[in-house]
Amino acid sequence: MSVGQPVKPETDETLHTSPSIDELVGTGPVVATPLWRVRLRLMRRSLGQNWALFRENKMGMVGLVLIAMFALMAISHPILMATVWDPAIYHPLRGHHAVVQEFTIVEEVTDETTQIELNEARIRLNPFVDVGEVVRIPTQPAPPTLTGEYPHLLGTDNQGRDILSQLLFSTRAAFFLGVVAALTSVVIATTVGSVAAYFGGWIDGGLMRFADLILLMPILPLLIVMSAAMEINMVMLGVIIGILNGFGGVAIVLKSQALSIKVKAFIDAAKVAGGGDWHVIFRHIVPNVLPLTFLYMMFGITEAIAIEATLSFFGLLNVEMSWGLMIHFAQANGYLLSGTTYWWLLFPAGLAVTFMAFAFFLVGRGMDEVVNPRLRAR
Amino acid sequence: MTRFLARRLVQMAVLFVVFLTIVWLLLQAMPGDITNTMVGNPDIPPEVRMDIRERLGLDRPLWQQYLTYLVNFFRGEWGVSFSRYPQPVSNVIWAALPRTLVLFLTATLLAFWMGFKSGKLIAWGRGGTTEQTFIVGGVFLQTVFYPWFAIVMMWLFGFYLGWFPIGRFITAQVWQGSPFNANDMFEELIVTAFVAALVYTIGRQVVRRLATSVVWEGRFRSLLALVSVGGLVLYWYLHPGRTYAADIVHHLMLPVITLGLVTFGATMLLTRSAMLETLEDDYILTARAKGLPDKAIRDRHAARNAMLPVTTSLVLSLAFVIGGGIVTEFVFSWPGMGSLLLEAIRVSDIPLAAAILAMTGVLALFGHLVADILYSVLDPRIRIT
Amino acid sequence: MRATRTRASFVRLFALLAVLAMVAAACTGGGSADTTTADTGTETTEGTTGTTAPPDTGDDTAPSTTAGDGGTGGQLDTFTAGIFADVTTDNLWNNLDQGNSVWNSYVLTPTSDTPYTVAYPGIEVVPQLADGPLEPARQEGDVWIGEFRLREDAVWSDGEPITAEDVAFTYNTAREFNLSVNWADYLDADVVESVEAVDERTVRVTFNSQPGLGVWGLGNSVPLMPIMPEHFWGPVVEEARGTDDPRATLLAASGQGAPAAGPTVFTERQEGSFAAATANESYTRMGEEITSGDVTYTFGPFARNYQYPVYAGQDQAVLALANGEVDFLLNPLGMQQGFREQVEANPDLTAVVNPTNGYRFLAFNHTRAPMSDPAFRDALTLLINKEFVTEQLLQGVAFPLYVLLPEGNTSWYNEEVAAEIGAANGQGMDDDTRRAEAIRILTEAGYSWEQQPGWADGDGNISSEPGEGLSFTPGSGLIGPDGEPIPQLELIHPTASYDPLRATFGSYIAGVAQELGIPVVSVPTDFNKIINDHYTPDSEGNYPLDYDMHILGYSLGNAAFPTFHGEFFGTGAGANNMGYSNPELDELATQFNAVQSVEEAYDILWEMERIIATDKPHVPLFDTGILEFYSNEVQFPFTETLSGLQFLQSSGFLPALVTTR
Repeated sequence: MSVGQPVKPETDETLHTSPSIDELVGTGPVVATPLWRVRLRLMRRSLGQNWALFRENKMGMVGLVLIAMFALMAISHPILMATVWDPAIYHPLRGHHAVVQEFTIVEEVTDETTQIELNEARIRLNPFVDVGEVVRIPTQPAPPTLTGEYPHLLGTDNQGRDILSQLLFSTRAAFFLGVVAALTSVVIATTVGSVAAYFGGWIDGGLMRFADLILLMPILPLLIVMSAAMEINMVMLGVIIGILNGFGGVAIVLKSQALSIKVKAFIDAAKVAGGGDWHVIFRHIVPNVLPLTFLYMMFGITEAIAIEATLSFFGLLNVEMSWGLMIHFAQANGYLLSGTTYWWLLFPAGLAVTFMAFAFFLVGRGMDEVVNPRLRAR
Repeated sequence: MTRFLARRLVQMAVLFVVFLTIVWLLLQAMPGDITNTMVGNPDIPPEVRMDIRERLGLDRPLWQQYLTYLVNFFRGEWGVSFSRYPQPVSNVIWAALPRTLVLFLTATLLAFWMGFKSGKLIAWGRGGTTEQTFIVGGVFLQTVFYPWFAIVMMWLFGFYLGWFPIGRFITAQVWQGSPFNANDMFEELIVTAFVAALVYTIGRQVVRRLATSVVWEGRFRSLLALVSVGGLVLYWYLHPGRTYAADIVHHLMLPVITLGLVTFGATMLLTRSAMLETLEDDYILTARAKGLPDKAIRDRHAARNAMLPVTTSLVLSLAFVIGGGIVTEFVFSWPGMGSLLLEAIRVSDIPLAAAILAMTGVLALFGHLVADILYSVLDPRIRIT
Repeated sequence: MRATRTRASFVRLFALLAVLAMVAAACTGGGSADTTTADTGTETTEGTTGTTAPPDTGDDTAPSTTAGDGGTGGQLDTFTAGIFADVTTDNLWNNLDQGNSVWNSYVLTPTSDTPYTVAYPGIEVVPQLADGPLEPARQEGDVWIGEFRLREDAVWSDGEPITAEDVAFTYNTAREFNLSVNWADYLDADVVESVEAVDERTVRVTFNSQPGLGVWGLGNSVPLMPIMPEHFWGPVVEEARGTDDPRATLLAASGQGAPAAGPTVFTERQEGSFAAATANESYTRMGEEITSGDVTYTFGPFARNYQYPVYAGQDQAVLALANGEVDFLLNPLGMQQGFREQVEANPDLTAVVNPTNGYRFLAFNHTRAPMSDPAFRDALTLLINKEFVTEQLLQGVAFPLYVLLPEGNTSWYNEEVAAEIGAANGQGMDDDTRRAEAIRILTEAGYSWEQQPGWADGDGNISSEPGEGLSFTPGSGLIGPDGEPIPQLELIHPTASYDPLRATFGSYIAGVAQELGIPVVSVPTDFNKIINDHYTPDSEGNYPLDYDMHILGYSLGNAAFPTFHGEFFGTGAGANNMGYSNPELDELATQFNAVQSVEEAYDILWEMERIIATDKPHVPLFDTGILEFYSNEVQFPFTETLSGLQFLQSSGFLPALVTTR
């Protein structure tokens, strides 16, 4: 949640590692192939070079592997639901399954498997049951079971719902949220940054004052107020985080990057060649700030995941299921500090949030080292 | 510089009004009001809700409420808290603010100091397993799901190991009937710690000017640290309320450690990156070529420049103290501004929520201003005109 | 070379940290040591368990003979009860007005006392500061006069007598200052003409019409109103009169040092940390033995000090309970089920569960078709298998309801009528019978389907009755009696993160309705938004009524005289946001308010229950028990009581009842 932290403007070394199309086209031999193919080839080449650099970064690769695993988890949920898992049992929201045991209510328990003490029966069922009644008590939350007709690899929650199913289901939501937030922020930040840099003057002034205003916004308190004011779902949350990020710190960073590109000769060349303002911005400036943009996308995803989980943890979002909400349920129902007894209610979701944010952050760092050669290992 | 400041201040004022407006609009957009809690109680007739709304001025036209809010805000009249009726909002805030500041300042300063030191060291000694461990640890701390992490910490140290009290600010059993007020005691703690820090900082500058050799400087510095920390400890040891102060400090430790660890991870990574960038700079090469000792290059040349982004980040994180404190305060039952904000929003206590958010805005504004000024002071390449 | 130096630096850095940690530990060492001392102090007093000497304060006014034997328990040094939010006021006027919160009530109500009160666990009205039972009001010309006498030995904690003047002062001040919220309920401004002191101990209340039990007897009214000390508040009130906003001035005044009439005297509050009180040595009822609901117990207080530490969450509070830091946890919603196992496994702790005084319901908008059609409401209600949801999905936290009056209200509950109503509303029915019945009701009322729901055999023939070898096939496209398709109906309920129970019920109801072709969708909605959109009348008191169905919950107020039927369902009643109207119910509600005997009231109440169960403005769905934990260091004369032990605290008794084991 480090919005508002100014990031040191990147130097123009970026350009050395991801050679600009325009530069290459300008200096290369005249070819008869269509322009798009040239662009494609160059893009592939630059991607290849960057990939080679990225691959040297062990931790970045760890991040990628982790992301791939999460992606697998996300994909596996619908498949499992359609094939192996009976929706009545395994649906993350409406599924229910519990081992039910029959007990006779007694004053003094002599046989623990068939009898239950009055006070406990009242607590576990309802305050009106009395001695002599036979009650059926399901075990929920239930610890992980690997065998049986309906195995629950990560146990069930206090409503008898499968934790693994919830975990996989939420992975998709987390990805979705991260991508929405990151795309929104990147589109806004690139546009704002490039436009401000290109036009300068009052447009620049206005946009940057607006960015200042956004930077002023305390994201978490603001989102807490917003979630009270309106019902925020995943898409809205993604867009809101994206806007706050995109208009704020990232836009400012990308603007300084765009500024360094604006003064390059090929921009003037493009203008002389008759390129309109928007053509120059979107064809020449934006592609050159893109590598940096991807970097911020990764950090944006990390942040969006953390924010969503935190808001869900407070029970403020109107979402069906998410990792944060799983922890919220565990907390709201009092299972949180029972130590390791109910670990399956607390650890899978907590670790999932952590590792997903961890993975994207690692990839972000890896990319940072690609675009910023000084950070690379010597 | 003066012109810059003047312009910046005007900008800040305008920004602040816009910010206040946005905050107010958002709070108004919250469905319902404080009287929501009275629904569903047959002992409270519905007319009472109307009566209360009238009493709180919630039945007036919105623009009127808005103008009153803006004007009163700048006159320092933040109104009466709805949920703690009829306490003035300012009283509620002044009671909570020091608690948030201390928790956050202690955690942040400690974490930055340690993070900076560790970051410096791992950047300098690149490539070892130590570096890898620290980086992975740092990234983990930075990306860990904080509420979860805090809960695990509380369970582990508060309950399982029992080293620290479980949440809260003071132990009621210790304080009942005490002649001291917890808030006053708290403020005294802040003041004395500040004085000790001031003595150390000033002393250090003096020592640096006067010391004849690096060795003596180091010795003096150690002595200075001993004197300031020792003085602080001695002061509180002789204080009649030392049990109470110790109780507060004991409660403060776990939240500080938890919050500090997370900040530590981020700072360490930031310092490392900043150091790596400066280490490539020409003047470091020059310094090496001159045959200066490694330690001098590291501390005098590289680290000083790496401090720039770290300091900025520190100042800015201080600006976001209230927002940053919400989770910590919630998990550790710490009665600060963050808990207050959560509660105010939950019960639609609009004056209280508005004032807290406005405080957040003020802090953020000044944080940005200070960061800008620091930038110009620390970085010779930037000159504010 | 560089690596070793780096390592050396690390060592130094961490050595420094270790020193810091040691310094910190040394500082806190004192703190923990003192905590231990405090604990030992408690243990020392426990050593004297069994001796029930009155608290020794060195105060000469303390009666030395009244402390009775609590039966089994003994003297306690400090009773520590955790609360979950700050005590925000020390002013009782304010706590009964806008400054009210349950947390304030936990701490402040035990400092106040009333002429009459509702005794628990029996839920009957008994004299408290008054002498003898309440006599019926008598007619004198145009007005009715009610009188009661205060006990001769009733004194404030500062030794001053509690007089009839204090009662009149309290009533007249509240009325003059236009105090609201809870006061509105005590003032009964529409029937009470005046409250005055006849002599030092006799209070006279004049009514403009014959008072029913609600204003003279059982309901919240002058006899049940807390008394404020005139000798303390008189000058404050006088001063407030002269200010611009007398009401705000009175409510903002500090109540620090106000003499108490209840079992405790408020002493201090450290905001964000705790509130505290001490025993009232001159508590009027000290040593008094009463029998209520088959339980006989003696009033204390049996503790010297009362302490209310504030916890932000139940987790921290339960850990503190397990650590022995607190004796009991006060929470109006009870504690979460998740702690149950941990508490039961702990030999030092006890868990108890009690029914609450409230219910969660499904409400129909009676002004919109098809909800305005009784057949539709009946069919939809029948489909809801409350036993399935509460026993299977919400196991252990909820139980099904069929009548509104809670079973836990032992003095008003009618098991027979409740069972009859339950049977008429599908209690214990299996799912197929429910479906068949619902299909029958809808068909008879003229509804039809695009795709008829029913039971199919292997050849695809659909029967409207379940049978051997037939399987249920869902229907779709319900068509109203007028031939128009039923539009999509929205069922609004709180979100899962706000209340998983109501959210589960909401999506379950939508599910079973859809199976039958009734197009109901569940719409999880922010709680505050539900209140704002559907529970906020305009300036004329009319509700917008722009919903189809919703799920919410109500609490039921004074259990000794449940007036809620009229308040919730009367035509145009303040809380009637269903557009429901039934003249028969209105008539009964009026009768109930004017009723002179409890027996009569009882019959009327259950007649109203029958009407509600038939008309279904609200369909009661479920309620939750209130789960509470306490330390075995303390004990209470009884633990089975409506709304749990916490309710005894907010009605002021618990501090007088708690003893050591």
